[in-house]
Amino acid sequence: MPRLHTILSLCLFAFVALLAAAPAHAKVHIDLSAPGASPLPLALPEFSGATKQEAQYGSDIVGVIRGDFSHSTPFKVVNPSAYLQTPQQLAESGPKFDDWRSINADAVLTGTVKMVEDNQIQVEFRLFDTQTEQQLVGRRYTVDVRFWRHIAHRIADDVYQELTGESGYFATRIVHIGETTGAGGHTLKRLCVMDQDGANYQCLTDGTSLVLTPHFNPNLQKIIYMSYASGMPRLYLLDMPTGQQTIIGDFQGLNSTPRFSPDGSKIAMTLTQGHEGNPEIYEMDLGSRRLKRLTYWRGIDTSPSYSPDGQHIVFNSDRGGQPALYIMDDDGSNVRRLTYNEGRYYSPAWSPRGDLIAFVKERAGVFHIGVIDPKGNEERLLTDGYLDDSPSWSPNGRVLVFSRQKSHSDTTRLYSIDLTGYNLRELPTPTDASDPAWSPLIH
Amino acid sequence: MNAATMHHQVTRPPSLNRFLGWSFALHVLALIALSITLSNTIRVLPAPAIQVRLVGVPQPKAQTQPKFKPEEVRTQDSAAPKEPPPDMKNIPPSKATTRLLQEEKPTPPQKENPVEAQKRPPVLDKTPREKKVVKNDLSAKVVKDPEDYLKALNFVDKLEKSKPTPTKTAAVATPNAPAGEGPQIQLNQADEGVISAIRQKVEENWLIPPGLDTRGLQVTVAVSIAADGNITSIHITQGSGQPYFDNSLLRAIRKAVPLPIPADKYDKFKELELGFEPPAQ
Repeated sequence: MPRLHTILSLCLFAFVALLAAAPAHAKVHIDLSAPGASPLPLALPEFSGATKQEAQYGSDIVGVIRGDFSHSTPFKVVNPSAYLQTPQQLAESGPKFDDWRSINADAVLTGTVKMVEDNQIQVEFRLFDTQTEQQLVGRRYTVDVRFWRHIAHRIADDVYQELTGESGYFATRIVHIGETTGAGGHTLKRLCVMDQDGANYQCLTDGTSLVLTPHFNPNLQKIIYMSYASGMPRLYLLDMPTGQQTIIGDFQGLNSTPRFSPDGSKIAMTLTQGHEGNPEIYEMDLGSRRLKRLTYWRGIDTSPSYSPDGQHIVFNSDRGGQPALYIMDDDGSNVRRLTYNEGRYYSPAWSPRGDLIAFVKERAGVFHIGVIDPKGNEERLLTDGYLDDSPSWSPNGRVLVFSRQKSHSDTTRLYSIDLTGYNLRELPTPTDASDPAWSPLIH
Repeated sequence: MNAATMHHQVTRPPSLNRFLGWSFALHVLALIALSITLSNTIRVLPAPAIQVRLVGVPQPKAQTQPKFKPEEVRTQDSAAPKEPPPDMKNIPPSKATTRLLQEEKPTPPQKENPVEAQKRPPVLDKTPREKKVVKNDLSAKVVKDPEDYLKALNFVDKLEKSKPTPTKTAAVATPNAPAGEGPQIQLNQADEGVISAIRQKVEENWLIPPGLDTRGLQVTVAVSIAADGNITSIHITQGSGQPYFDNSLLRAIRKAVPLPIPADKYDKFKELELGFEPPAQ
């Protein structure tokens, strides 16, 4: 009997040991290192349409979307001549993923256009991942046909958001000062707006008085800017739906560099009233028109820009000896210096994302657009030029628009650059242009 | 009968006692063995392919769309660059109608407990967001309230999925042990070579658009592999919360197919877990 027990127990132990030694279906775990960065290849075939007109819109809309993405650092547009499926085939049977994978497209956007009653256009799109063969997002927009470009930008924003996790910036406008030569040979400066890609260009003032430094409020309905309409440098608020202009106070001296707070309820600006020409930063509540002085320094304090939470303001001051950037709380307290590096800093603009502050830096006669984090670390210069000025952020904090004069004899134009330093390009404005300000997303 | 007598009566011969003792010990061991076997088995059961996406509403009739009359956009005509208005007129960027076909964005693949998903009221998100905006805008009047201009811009229709989602990439619930737990596999030097080959091939294919903020994102994907090196199942076991990031790794693994696994190593590597953890700050 004891012998049997011994044999039995030995067998059992052997069995258990076997189980432990060879776990039946354990998983091997593999640790990966961080992904590399490379533009995502995106296929943008034309949207299909049943009639000639619809097909034309399908082609035009995708043309706008291709334009958006071809200037966007996170993406590259796969060459349309390589596409194997026609818009009709896509509409009838959906994407053949093998075809799209074979031309190395990671994602493909398909769509159809239909005219519906009352001159409305219905645009439907679907975005597919060619590897997982999944639809990532699909929407249908119905809109007056005159706004087909806006729909194209909206779709581009949808695609951008889906594939990057960030909101897009394509359905936006840029307000700026358009410069033309008047009858007498002198420069006319007008307040102008256009879509981010240069379309729908329109000027809002006739150029009889000098205008400068416009800025959109967060709901796009108002633009604040500086004008000499009364003969004196004053700030005006333009209500876009009504076209009404109202003067913001009439403070003695120079009234300049207006910026809306992120909620649009307040304006920060520079006034020289009562300080013998010494510029100080003030804040005005637009509801009560109450004015509050924020800075006290016998030199220059100017160019305020709010943080996205509205609790801090970055500004330009020479209190440290030469123009540098400073941050204060929104009540003017707790002033601390942001930039210590060599050179002069101007025109700070706090990113809508909050993580960076853009600025103009002049050092040894060269002007740069640069960025720095709000703690004063990791300063990076993105451009260098004869005169680069007035940076303004895209609403997703990804791209900067600024003005550039290439040389003394050259005129000033608008440029944009990705915050990675890639994709510098000139914006297509019909006239010379300066003082750009990017609108919030029009969604 | 009292307790003492009872006790006396259940006295057993020593051989029976010994047998009972062994029997008890064997049962305990057998149970332990069984539990180990079962835990392994459960771990590799195919993940429940439960789709937690909300069911889309059938496409509504076109007639339900609220419309804006052309008059509303009269200012657009003045947008012609040739005649800049002497006074300032706004060009609203667009007018449109709002209708939501599907209330919720497609749920990205993510860790989702099926039970919780069922508990979620499926109609919760059906309220068409911003619908109020379009409801009363059928009049031919110009929108006076500036706010309305903007609200009128919300006119998104979300489309249903055009086809059923393959279950293989469905959001799944795996109450899986996090990476690293689970039974340990003894790996020899040759195995390490296979791992590094797989790692290299996936890393070569793992790319995300430049300039994105990936700080703090981590992701783990479980992959089952067929004998020919193709993928039989792949799913996120720990999502980063950023679908684009999770999807980028799924794409990378699919592009890396066939994974470089020698035939004699297949059994060891047919169940893989690939993950990325950001370095500690």
